[in-house]
Parts: sequence; structure tokens; C-alpha cells
Amino acid sequence: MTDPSLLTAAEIAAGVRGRKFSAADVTAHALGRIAKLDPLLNAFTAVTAERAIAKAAAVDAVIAAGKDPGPLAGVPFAAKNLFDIEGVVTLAGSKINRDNNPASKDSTLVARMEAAGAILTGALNMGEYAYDFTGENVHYGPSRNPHSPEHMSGGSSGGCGTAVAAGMVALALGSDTNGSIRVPSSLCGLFGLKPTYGRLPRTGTFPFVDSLDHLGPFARRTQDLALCLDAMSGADAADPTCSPEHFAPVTPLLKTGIDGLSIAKAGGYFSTGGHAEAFEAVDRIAAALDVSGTVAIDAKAARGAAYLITMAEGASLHLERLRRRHADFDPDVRDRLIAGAMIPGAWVAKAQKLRRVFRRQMLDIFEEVDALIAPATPCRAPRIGQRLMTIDGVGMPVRPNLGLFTQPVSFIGFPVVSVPVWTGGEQLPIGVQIIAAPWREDIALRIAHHLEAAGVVRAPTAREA
Amino acid sequence: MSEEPFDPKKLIDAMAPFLGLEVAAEYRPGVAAHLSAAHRIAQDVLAAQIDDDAEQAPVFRP
Repeated sequence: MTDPSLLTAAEIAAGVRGRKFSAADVTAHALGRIAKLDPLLNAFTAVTAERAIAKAAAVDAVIAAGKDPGPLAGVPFAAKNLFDIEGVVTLAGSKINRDNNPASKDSTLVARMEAAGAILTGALNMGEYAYDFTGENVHYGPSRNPHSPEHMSGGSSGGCGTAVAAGMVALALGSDTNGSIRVPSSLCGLFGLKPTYGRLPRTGTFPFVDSLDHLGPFARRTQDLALCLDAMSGADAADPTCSPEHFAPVTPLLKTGIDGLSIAKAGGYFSTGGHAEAFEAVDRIAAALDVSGTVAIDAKAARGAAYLITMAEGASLHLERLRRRHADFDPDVRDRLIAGAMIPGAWVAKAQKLRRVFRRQMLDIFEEVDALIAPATPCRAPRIGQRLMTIDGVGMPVRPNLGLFTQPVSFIGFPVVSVPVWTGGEQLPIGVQIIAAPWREDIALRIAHHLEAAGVVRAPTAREA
Repeated sequence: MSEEPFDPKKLIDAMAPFLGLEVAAEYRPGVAAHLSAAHRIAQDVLAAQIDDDAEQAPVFRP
């Protein structure tokens, strides 16, 4: 029998609901694949095998009783280890949090996934306290790129990228403050959705920068992203940033095509500062969408503002730990956080004002267009351990700059689907951002699905080494 | 803006006790590099023209 855990989430759910195979079968295959591949790829920090087996049995029992097991019945998923999982310590990639008690209940999104029938298989590796774009971690080792294990997965949701690209799970839940879903999606060749700020509740997750933190899914198919978003949507008064609005499901709209949509390339800031492959990927998407227009966008100050808010809010969150446990931090994270504590309040206040100004400028652009396309990362996956990269003849650190194209967009909370492009017979992919207006995840997903159906973008499971 | 070049080491010396932070000798080069990067990046933010009555992005609703 073909490994059913390697099917798409939609196919797994259909197979389980139609009794073609059981949730127990899928879960056994998924756990077997994790046991086989994770020693090499290092995606997981905890595997919740007992819980997964019990949940799968419960899903199968619901089906046997003739009841509805939910739209994600039997679909294996895992969550970045900043999501609370009952009985598991929420590490947030750190050594320090090991001293905390295990979570007493699941985070809201993990609970909603399981309510939809999905099977949690574990917690995923990440950059310490999410202050990372590489997927490296000094305490737990790097999550590796399944397409080339000596290369970075991207971060900070590195384990998400690794686990989905390796076929260990069909779906993963990550977080994106400045690009931490879109960067690993780009480097690992996946579809990643960073929804609108406030679209999904963050209740029961370890924060990083409250002003900028988003949660969202990774998948190998656009339909799976849509199903996952729909399963997780809904208001939550426990997160004051979460919108109380009811949002219509996006899955029914996914295949409605792109006729009538106005799409443009993001120019200006988004057209320089990367390697040629980043812009070749954008051009390929533009050609497939018959896009000829470019909108000049000055996002340099916006990126700077996001950078400063991140430094300051991150430092505020961790100040007491920096006082008492500074030797237990990842040195790369510690030094940035200490510097962040020294950022003047006047800079941060202005950065928050600039956020509203830039939002207005972008909303004005979206009066004329329905979507923008832009690079996701300035390059393909660097090698693990690579500290510097050269862009336009200028050397710069890898860690903070892999997100230079994602950072201005999350700064204003617009929804983005990162789509994976494979150019020139390359071993490694690179992503392109499809950016829509606030709350229009459906538009970004429709465009991504159109490109997927045309074969322009694809997220294959990595071949096993 | 002051014409005097920014020296992150002086900032670390002044701010560390103010914040109650220990900045060990081996941390200082990294912290200084990040302060210099922040100082450079902040210039774009500080140069942006924003009206006095501009509102910050977060809105608190009592």
C-alpha cells in the first residue's frame, strides 16, 4: 500500500472519511516516517506518539459510529514548539524554558485542528524565542533542509519547513513576526500562509513581538492551506488582537480562478537587494499571471521600523531573563536582545506611527490592485553555519537579512501566501510572496492555486537521502 | 543630528547599569554590532516626515 501519510491533507481526510484507509493507518505511517527521517533532519523536539495513536483511534471510532470526524480527519500535523501542547513544556526554542512546567492545556489553534479531526504528532524545532531567520538553534541543533540537508531550513519556524517538506506531516503550524513562515517556506519549497494580523488567535502560544506576531500554516498544496485556515478560523476573546468578525470559508473560493483580478509586481524596495534568482522567480510568476505592471514601493523605512519595534519589544519581553539567565541564551539572540533593551523609546514610538502611515500608503495601492507579487527571500537556502552573504556587492549578516523582503509586509499585517518556485534545474527552491489586502486571504490563495494548477509552482516531498 | 560619530561602546557602558544588565566582555562585540546596525537602520525611520498629529498603529479601546 502506498504510504497514505504522503498524500495531501485533503486526500488523507477524504480517504479516512470514505474508509479507504483508517486514521490509525495514516498515523502509524506518519510516526514511522518521523522515526526514520528525523534523526537526520531534526525537525521535532517532541513526538507525541501516544497522543497521536489515541486521537487516531478516536477519529476512527467516530467514523465507525457514522458521525462526522471533521474536515481534517486523520491528517497528521505538528506545531512549532512555541504552541502550548498539553503535557509538553513550551520551549520556544530555548534552554531557559525547559525549567517551566508542561503546558496545562493546548493552544487554541492546536485544539481547533484536533476538533477538525487532525492528528497532532509533535512539537517542532525553531530558532530561539523566534528571533531568527535561519532555522539554526544552538541548544537543539539546526532543523535541516530536506532538499539538501547541509542547507538551512530557514527560520524561525525551521522545523515546520523541514517536517512538511520531508513528508513527515501534511500540515504544520508556525508563527511569523517578520517572516518566520515565509522564509522557511521559501527555503524548503512549500506553500506558507501568513494571514492578516488578527485573523487567527494566538492564545496559548509563547509570544515574541506582540505588535507583529502572526500564526499560520505550512503545506505542500494550496488546498491544504485553505482547509487548515478554515479549520482554525474564529474569534477568540482571549487574544485582544484577534478580530471578532466572522470570516467566510476560503476553501469554496479556491478554484474560482483569477479572472478580473488586477495583479502587479512590487517594485522599488522589492526590486533590488537580492540575488538574481529571487527576481527571476518573481518574473516567472509575473509571466504566468500575465502581469506587466509594476508599482514602486518605498519600504526601506518600513523595514527599519519593523526592525526597531522587534528589537525593543523582544527585549522588553525577555529583560528579566537577560538579567538572570543571560548565559543560557543562544549568543546570537542574547546580543540582539541586549541591544534592543537600549533602543530609545522615541525611536520605537515613531516606528509605530510610521506603521500606520505605511499601512495607508499600501491601502491606497490596493485601491488599484488586488494583489502584489514580491520576492520572499533574497536568495536560496544558505549552507548551515553560513554567517555572511553578499548582495549587490555588499557583505551582510545572513541571520537578520533573510527576511528583508518579508519584514515590511508583516509590519502592516497584510496577508501573504508564499509560493515555491524551482528555476533552472536547481536543487533548491525559492519563494515568491503573493500579497493581498487585509482579510483577503482568499485572493492570495486563489492566485497561488491558479499557479499550482498551471504547474508554475509546486511543493514536492523531498527525495530521501 | 550630532556630527560626533556614534560609539556603541559608550552606550553599552551607560545603559547596562541603567537597565540592571550585565554585559560580559564576550557579549560586547555582538551587542555593539547590533547597536550599530540599529543606529544605521533607524536613520530611515527618523528621516521619515510624519505629521505631529499622526497616531501610533496600536489602538487601545477601554
